[in-house]
Amino acid sequence: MFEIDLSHERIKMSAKNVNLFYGDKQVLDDVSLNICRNRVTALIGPSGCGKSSFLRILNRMNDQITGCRVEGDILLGKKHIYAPDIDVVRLRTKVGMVFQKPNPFPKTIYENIAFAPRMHGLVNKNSKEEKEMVEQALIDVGLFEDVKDRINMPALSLSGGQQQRVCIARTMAIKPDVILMDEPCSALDPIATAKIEGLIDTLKEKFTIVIVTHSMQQAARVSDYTGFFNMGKLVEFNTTEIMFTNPREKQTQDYITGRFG
Amino acid sequence: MRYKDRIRKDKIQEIAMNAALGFILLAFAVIMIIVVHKGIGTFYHSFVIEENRVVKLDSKADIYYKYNNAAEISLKDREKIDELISQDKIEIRPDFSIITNGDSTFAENAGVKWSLLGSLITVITAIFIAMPLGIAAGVYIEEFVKNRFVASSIDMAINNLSSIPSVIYGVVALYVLIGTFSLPRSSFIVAAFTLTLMAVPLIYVSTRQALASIPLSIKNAGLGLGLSHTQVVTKILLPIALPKITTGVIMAIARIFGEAAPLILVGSVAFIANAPSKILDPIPLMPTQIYLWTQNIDTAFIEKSFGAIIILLFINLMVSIVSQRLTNKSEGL
Repeated sequence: MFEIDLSHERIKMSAKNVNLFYGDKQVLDDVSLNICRNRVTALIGPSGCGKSSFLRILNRMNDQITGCRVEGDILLGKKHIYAPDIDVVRLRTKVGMVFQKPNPFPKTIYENIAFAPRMHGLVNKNSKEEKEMVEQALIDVGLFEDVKDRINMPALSLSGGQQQRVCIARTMAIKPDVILMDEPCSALDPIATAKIEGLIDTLKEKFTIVIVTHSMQQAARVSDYTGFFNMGKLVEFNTTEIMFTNPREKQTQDYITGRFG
Repeated sequence: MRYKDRIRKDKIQEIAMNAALGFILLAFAVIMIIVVHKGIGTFYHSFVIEENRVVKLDSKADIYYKYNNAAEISLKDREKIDELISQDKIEIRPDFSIITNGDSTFAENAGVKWSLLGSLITVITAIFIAMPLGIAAGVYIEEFVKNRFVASSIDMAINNLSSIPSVIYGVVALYVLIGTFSLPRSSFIVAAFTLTLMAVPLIYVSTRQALASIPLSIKNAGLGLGLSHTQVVTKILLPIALPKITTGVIMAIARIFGEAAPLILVGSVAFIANAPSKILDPIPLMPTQIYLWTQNIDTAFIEKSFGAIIILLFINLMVSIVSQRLTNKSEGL
């Protein structure tokens, strides 16, 4: 495996020689990957290749799964996130996550966004700052104009794309450094997808984004760097431009051109 | 399968389902008709109307006048009543002594006032003890026990408890509370504790089911936002589960409100005409009151017991309506 030159970038997270096991089954095999600050990193690959699992070990969501074991180093800044003294709950406030299906809480739009910051003590309940924070988050995801009159309506009454944007706004509101997105558009129609992609483009000014996607076009459109996973291995990692124009590995080329997967 | 066969099979299944529903409705209707037919007479009584006073007839005379049933009335009384009838002095009037009076050896005066109050107090006490226990146990097993074997063993045991015959709780209470701790029989404390034992597994089961029905994605959303597991459970999952838990609690109330078997064992079947004044005094209860009355040979007492059943059913109906409303409300959001 070759290295690419990332010296002009600032590294936000890095994984070094990561192995992941579910019980006896090895899901990731010696994965090393750097995630650059204020960049979008896309992870692509066929189903079951381990890209979602890799995403979930970046904020330790895999801890939920019994029999899950991680070997190797994963660093956030300079901290090992699997070190014993790490508070998982605090880690997840630094590394937020947006899921495949929109999963707003069965509360109002306002509550959905204000809830977690309130729990973390970032804002006081019903304070002016809270209101401003919710509005800012909605403006950032481009939803404010659509919902400003219905901010106290149940979030579940929104359309799928709007719900997903509420979920992104909710994650942004806890001010994480990194946002992980696990196929955020797979349950959405093309128009909503286009909106989310546009949103990702603006979000990278504030956050570092890692996105798992099944859509090659999406990876090409939104990302700066792309990693291609196959059979639990990181086959190739490069800038998106090179990846989609001149991949070095045959496997990558085959996958991108649709010859397998 | 051919199209025609499938249509025929669908039709047969539809008919079978309709038949089952029809059977249930019919059985329900028959029960209701019998109860109302037998019990509605309790709310009417025969009075002798004279110029300046109204006299309530005794129960045997009342039964004779209302139903023309001469089986229990003495010959002497019968002649008197016949005479009054011929003078057109007897009249049937609404009479709610079943609600306004306590128990009595005279059927015309007997009522459920104290047993209704006793039941309400006992059930409320039982639920207030059982609710925190059942909900806490359900939340703990569903969300916090890591070892699956332990969780499923405990779950199986409690599930089992929720479906065993209720008389077993009576046996346990009899030996433990009355036998070992020498608490007085038929007292409010013993009855409340027996019903608590019954209610805890019911509330536990509904709590667990309510939590289990919440999609995992909601829990993940909370964790992904950096909330601790406890915060996710108490601030997100429990509020979502609350309407279903409430329904479960109300179902438990309805169940223990009408439960007689364990209470008979702990001695809540005594004849008690007055309100208890001390906490360890014997207290009458609704279901056992009904049981007591059904043991009586007088037609009037049998009628009273059906009247009491109507009151019991009415209260349970109210409870069901409240629970239905709560459930509907929860589905709105």
